[in-house]
Amino acid sequence: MKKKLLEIKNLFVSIEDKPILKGVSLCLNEGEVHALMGRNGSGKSSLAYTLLGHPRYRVDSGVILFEGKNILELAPEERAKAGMFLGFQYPVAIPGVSLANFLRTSARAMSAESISAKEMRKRIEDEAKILGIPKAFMTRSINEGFSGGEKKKLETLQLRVFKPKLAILDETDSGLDIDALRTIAQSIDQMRDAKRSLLLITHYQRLLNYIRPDFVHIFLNGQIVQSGKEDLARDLEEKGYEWIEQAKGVAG
Amino acid sequence: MNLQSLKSIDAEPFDRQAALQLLGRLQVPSLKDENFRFTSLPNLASYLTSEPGANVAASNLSTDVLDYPEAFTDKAQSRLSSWDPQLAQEWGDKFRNLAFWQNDYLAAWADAHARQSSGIDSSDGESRRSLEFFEGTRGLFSRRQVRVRAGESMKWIEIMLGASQEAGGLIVGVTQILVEESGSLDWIQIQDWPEQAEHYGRYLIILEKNASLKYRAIHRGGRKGQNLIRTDSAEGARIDLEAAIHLDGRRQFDYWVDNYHDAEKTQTNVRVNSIATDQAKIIFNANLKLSSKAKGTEARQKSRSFLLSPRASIEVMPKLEIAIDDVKVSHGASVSNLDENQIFYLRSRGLSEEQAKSLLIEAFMLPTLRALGSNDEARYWAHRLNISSAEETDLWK
Repeated sequence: MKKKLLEIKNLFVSIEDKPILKGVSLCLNEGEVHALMGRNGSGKSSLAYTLLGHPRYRVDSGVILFEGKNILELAPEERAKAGMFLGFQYPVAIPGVSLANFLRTSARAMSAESISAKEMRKRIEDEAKILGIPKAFMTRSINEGFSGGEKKKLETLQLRVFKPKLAILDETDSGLDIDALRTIAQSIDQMRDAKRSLLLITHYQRLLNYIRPDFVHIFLNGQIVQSGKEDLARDLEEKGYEWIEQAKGVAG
Repeated sequence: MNLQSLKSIDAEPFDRQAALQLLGRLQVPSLKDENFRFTSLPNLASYLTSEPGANVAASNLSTDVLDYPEAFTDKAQSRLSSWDPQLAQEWGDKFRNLAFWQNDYLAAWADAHARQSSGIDSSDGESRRSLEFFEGTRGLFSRRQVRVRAGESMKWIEIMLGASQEAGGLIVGVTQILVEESGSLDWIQIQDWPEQAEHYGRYLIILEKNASLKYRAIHRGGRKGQNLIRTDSAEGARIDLEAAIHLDGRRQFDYWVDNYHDAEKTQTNVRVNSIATDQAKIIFNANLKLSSKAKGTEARQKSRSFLLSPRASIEVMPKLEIAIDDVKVSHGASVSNLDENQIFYLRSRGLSEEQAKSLLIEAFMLPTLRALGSNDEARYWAHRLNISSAEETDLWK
């Protein structure tokens, strides 16, 4: 029997007293890929931020278990060290901090084992090569002055360097051209194994053509309103959200 | 305070007569005078009526009092030219209009009593270094001439630091910088005065036709301090100025940058990042002045300020005086806390909140350390300034 990696039970979350998530329940077993689809503003990114512990998101009730442990009291860095990774929809620019410096600092913080600077550099360079990221990017500031596609590649680079147990990828496919989408999606798909789980937040079927999900969930108005297999994503692509809103009686 | 007592002090006679005459004409400074915003009168009087002392000239520095690695203070680089009275005379007229110190008691006093009068000249080499070191509780008064000759380039690393932990100490430095036609000055300034010292620096800078100035600076330390930088740009001159001010405790620092543009096609880009923690107070005055002759000038001024504690304060006072239409001018000032999304991003990658904040703050200082051009020296400063991410930066991989 597969082990549960992430279990969310009846999660209610608000920002400045405004309810955002309204009773989310979801379970990801080890090695599974789940896709979360929904309209803009339905709360998908809020769920991602909440999972990593963004301080602006207040958990009003509910539980988040990671490997069976309640992580609600853990700081974002503790969640990251436990094996959770968030690929940002809008990666934040940090002027002045070079990507190489940041990656080495983070990788050391995340790794229990001692890694020499040389080893770390090699690991980063090898992964960057796979994604077609030029070496020159390493000395530039994090996410500053990069195109949308380049930023997503840099997020994927971090995913590959950190090798988390759970990757939550928030619209990793947005802003990508066809070639970049294929490169990124394939390099994410290569990371699938029996232990690692992925939670893909996306609007489009195209990402799921490369990374075929085990389950698809439809997220509307702060809730998961329907779950199914990958054909649910295809239905959604054909019919849009209205049919499901009508069927579930949920306002768009 | 008695002016007669000032005049009777037997100081080193560096063109002393003229300076003393000037002193005699000055009014005793008022605390309301903005040049003396931070100077307490009793403190000022105490220094001005006692004999200046405790100067340590760079050439006399011993490793006993200075932990700065000898490798970086190569003697050939540290040895500065002597003060040139004739040049001072020639420059007198050039700089008169720019002078802050026509009514500046401290600067006049430094002129009259400077023990450390030196010159830095590009004809002596492309890379020069000056080192001012303060220890003790008295005064360090210095004046300097910096000259980049026509068509030449010079890198000048200006280091100011000290070791005294005792209360008191007054440091005043007056510097004239002339970058001659098509000359280029790459100036790196690191100021880390002892915690208890008051420090005042005045820099007058003339850029002749097509000259350029690149300036990177870190300001730390000192109890109270003030830096005044005033530039005058001739046609085609370019200025790129970036400074990071990081104060903690109850320190106060007043930073003035005045850029005058009185000729065509000049360029000025000023960026100042201020970070105040605890009860620190930072004031940034930025004045851009474009005369009717400044056609085609581009001038930008940007100030980013970060308040990291509820009792810290930062005042930013940008001023623009523009007397012509055909120019591009912009200025922006922001005061905020560190960005919570940046902090969250770094924390989501395993950095603690403290580490994340440090990394963001240190980022403002790295351009200056990089500009040093030496990994070893950058590492030294990173250690001295408690830049915790030092070993991780790409400077010394």
